[in-house]
Amino acid sequence: MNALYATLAFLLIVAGMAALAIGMAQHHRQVFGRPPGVVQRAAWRGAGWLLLALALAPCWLGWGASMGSVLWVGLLAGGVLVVAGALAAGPKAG
Amino acid sequence: MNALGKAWLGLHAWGGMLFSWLLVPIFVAGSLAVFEPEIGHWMRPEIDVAPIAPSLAADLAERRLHEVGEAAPLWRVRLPTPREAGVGVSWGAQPRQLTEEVLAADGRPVPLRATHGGHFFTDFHAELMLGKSGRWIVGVIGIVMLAAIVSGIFIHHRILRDFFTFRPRANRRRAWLDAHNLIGVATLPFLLLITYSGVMILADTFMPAATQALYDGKPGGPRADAVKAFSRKASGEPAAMLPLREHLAAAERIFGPGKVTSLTVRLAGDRHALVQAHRTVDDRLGAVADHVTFDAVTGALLGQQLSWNPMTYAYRAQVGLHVAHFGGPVVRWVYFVSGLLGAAMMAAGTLVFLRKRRQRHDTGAVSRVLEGCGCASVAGILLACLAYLGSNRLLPAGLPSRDAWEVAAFFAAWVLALGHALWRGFPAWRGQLLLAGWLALLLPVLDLTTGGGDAWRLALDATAVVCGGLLLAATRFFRKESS
Repeated sequence: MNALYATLAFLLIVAGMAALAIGMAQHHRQVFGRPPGVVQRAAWRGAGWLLLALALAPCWLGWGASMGSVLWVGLLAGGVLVVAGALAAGPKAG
Repeated sequence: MNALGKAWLGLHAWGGMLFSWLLVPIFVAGSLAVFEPEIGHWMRPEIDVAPIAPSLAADLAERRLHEVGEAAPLWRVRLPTPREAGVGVSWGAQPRQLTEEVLAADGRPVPLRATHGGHFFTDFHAELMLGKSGRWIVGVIGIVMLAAIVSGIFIHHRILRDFFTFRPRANRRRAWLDAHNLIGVATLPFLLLITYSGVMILADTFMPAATQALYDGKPGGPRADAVKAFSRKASGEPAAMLPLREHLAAAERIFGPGKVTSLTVRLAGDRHALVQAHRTVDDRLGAVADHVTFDAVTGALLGQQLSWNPMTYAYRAQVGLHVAHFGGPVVRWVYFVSGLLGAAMMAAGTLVFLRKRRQRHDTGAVSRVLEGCGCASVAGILLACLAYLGSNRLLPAGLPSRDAWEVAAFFAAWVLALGHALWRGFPAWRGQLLLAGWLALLLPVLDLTTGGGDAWRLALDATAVVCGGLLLAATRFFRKESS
């Protein structure tokens, strides 16, 4: 059960980090070929933060508030690295 | 860059690089120490993972202790856990000088090879095998690490704009700097948490003033204040004790089934004998082990500690955050990977530093030493860890002071790697990483041909294969530099 919670949390974190990255001008250009509009940028960023916050839920369900929060912080690093690696492997990486 | 920025950069670059020579080994050993019991199991292939129910384990331990420990007043029983197989029994007069055995499912002691097992990595991580002076050194290094983290944040101007930036196909310096920045920023919360809590754990060593003043310099003072002890004098009259399994059952009624990790018998055989049961810490952040004490003869409850004073919780929560006994395999893997990422981040920083010097064609003696120590601290420490694991299986089981030879293999490999790196310079990186990668890939072969190969040991083998593959993949960044 805990492995399932951890997988879910990690997927939510990767999705959240990806949305945060797309909310940045240079990565939006890299993914969609054009810079984001003001609304789009806010939407991507909002979605990113929301997904990161949602990832707290499976961590807390599986490990309780204190241990779960530590795990969440630990998983954030993996999310950043996966998204950065994916962007670097993408076609327009510099 | 203004003068202050230059000063920050100088502190970060020189402080980080020089102290990385020990910080990288400390991070690597600390990451391995997360799996101390698992590594210990791998290093004692005599032990079988056959599950033993706690009550049966208590019976087996009791029978063995009556055989061999009848004269000893102190008995300890470590019950099998999903991480540590077999029943550990130990007995003796003094807590620090106990004779230890591990019992198999049939109750017979397993003939074990002498080894420090996974505890070597914990010891090296926390005190470099140097006892108290080692704790001083590690404490100082930890404080420098905190300074390096803070100065690193100050000199990283584009921390938010380059949050996800990694350009492996840009020039080599750019790529290494990106890797250093990216891993550093991604693992920043973990690095702060692990370094701060590590320094806090050691604080009593290098800031003993509080203990001196409050406890008249008695080193056990703070512990005695936090941990309730339910002890009494021996009566001098012998008496038969209740079976250990009954005490275990009584303790499980308090802590819950499967929550008892160890039983300690004091004044064994005396009418005033005591049995103390300790609760597991693996389901809570603060590393505080609740305990309960029974009269060994009557089974009456003599005392229990299920709550702790706030300072104990505050301190032991930091210990718990550092040693990560909580949260099961998921948390252990997160700590293991994060620790190795921290080591990789420092290695990338060292490479940026060394490359700058190389590009200035600075080939003097100083550069040679910096290059050699840098390589030995990263690739050399991996070879040393592999030599330690390999020697565990290759040294004859009956060799006198065998455990010391395993440690000698670790340090011999490290010194050889340093000599090689000083001699060869930059190409040593690639050579040593290739060797470490291939040795890690061969670890399962060694395991399967020297008596290992159960599911737990195969898990370690699989980890070694993945790490070896990553090392081999990384060697392509160490080809002769063109850009």
